[in-house]
Amino acid sequence: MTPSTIAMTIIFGIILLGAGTGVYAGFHRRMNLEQWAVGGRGFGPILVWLLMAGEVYTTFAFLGASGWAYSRGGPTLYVIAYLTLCYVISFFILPGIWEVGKRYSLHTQADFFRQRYDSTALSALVALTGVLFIVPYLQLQLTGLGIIVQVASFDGISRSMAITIAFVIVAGFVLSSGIRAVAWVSVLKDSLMLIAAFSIGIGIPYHYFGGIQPMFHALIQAKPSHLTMPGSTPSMGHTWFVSTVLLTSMGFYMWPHAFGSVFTARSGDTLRRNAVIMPLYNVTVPLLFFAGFAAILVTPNLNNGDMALLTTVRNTFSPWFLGMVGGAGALTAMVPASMLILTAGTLFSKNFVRPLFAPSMSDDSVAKLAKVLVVLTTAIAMYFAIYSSTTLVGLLLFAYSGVTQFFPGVVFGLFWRRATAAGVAAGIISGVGFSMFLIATKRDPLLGWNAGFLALCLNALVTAIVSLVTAPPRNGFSESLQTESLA
Amino acid sequence: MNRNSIWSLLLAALPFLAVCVSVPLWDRVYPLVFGLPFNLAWLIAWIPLTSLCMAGVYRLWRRGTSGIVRDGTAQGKRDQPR
Repeated sequence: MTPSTIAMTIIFGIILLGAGTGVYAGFHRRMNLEQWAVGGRGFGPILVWLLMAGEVYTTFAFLGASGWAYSRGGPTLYVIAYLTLCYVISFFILPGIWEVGKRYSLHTQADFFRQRYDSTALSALVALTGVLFIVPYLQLQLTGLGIIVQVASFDGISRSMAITIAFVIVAGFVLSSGIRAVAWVSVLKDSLMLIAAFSIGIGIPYHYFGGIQPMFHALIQAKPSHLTMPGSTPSMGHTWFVSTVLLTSMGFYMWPHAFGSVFTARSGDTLRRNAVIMPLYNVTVPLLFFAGFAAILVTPNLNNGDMALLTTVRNTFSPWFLGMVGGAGALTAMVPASMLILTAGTLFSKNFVRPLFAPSMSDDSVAKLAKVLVVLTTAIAMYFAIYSSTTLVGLLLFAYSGVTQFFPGVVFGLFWRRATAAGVAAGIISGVGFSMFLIATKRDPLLGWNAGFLALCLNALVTAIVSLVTAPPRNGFSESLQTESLA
Repeated sequence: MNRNSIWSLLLAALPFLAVCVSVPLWDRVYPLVFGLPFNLAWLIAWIPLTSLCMAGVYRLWRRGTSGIVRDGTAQGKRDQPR
């Protein structure tokens, strides 16, 4: 057997094992919308933890963070900071969101906006914006899967072919299962990921340098400025770090799929306890940094930093281990991708198509339409994945500058009775518009500030001002919510 | 807002102070900590420290709600402080 056959066989074995686990987990339950989208709203701490942890370890952390550590250096540290701080924020907002979800049987993020602001139009806007920014995140996962297949096949399978294969795997997985499957495959994924991160993060530095300490020593000698900000970038200094960490930590639970996973919890207390434990889940992220840093000296001059980790693994270990790592990586792309697609499908059919074009549609038809949209969304992301060359981290940062624009609407919604639908809609439109303008005209970062963060400030301001000049909302629930969720 | 809420907000602000806005103070390579650059070591140290802060916030919140509802969860009762 050639090395590539060995590696590819193991990768596909792991993917099949994951898919099998998923299909089995969803097998005995009738899949109505409630089951498919929020798992019957009965997940205890462990399943919720798995589901939320599943969102942390995506290809972004695995290939993207190590890739940026390789190509950018210091600024990549923002990843550790934001993945720690997002849980601090979650403690204060998730229980309130859950409370509303429970009381009004909500499934999606857009449902929350509809309920709180009593506006179908706002909810449709949120759904559309959410789906729009799910696409680059999904593109990230497919690109990651593509890189894995490409490297593990020793470049025998081309990039576009690899991404097409990734598309088929992911779409098939989602159609055959649902959210419960995603949670259970996370168990397999996280165990493999843990093994992979430890063996790579410690193994590679020991193999080439005799330890982590000598590895950093050598790196400091060779590239002294790479390890602090702005590292090997022209403009990502401390201002960029602060604004980016704030943007992304506020945005973490604004992802429609992360927001939706809140509704799967059995109680608000589950979410609070998660906020205490979840930061610890980040301990393996630095290990991926070690691998990225080691790759600078071991496999220098790669065109694509995102390939640094896997290429180094390929050059260092035997093919079966490359297969193991590749398989773990494949699951870290598949699981979040499935959640993203599931959410996009539900959002678009339930909160956009039904209220605007087909009010009489039944829940079952919504679920069916959602599945059709699943394929469509994935196909669009696949198209972008094949034709774009943005780095994985770059893609995620772009997407964050979009989804974080929901943050003012959510926080004001929970804590400020006076916030109105018109205010929130104006805020989201101006925030998304401004950040997209800055990014499209290559003004990100602007004077050192992350463009998405500047747009977020504008958004909050617009939301507040427009809310104050429009008539206050009159539905009863926002008042009862106010008195309860203020901690 | 009662005193517990103020303490818990302060405790929750601590990680933000430590790993975000104070970056100019700790973004340096030396002194190395266990062979790691100082900035990396600092962020790694704040992973468990943040968890610790949140454990404190959780305890304060628990204390704030004791006597009202201890475990109003499965039936969708309020487990929020007033």
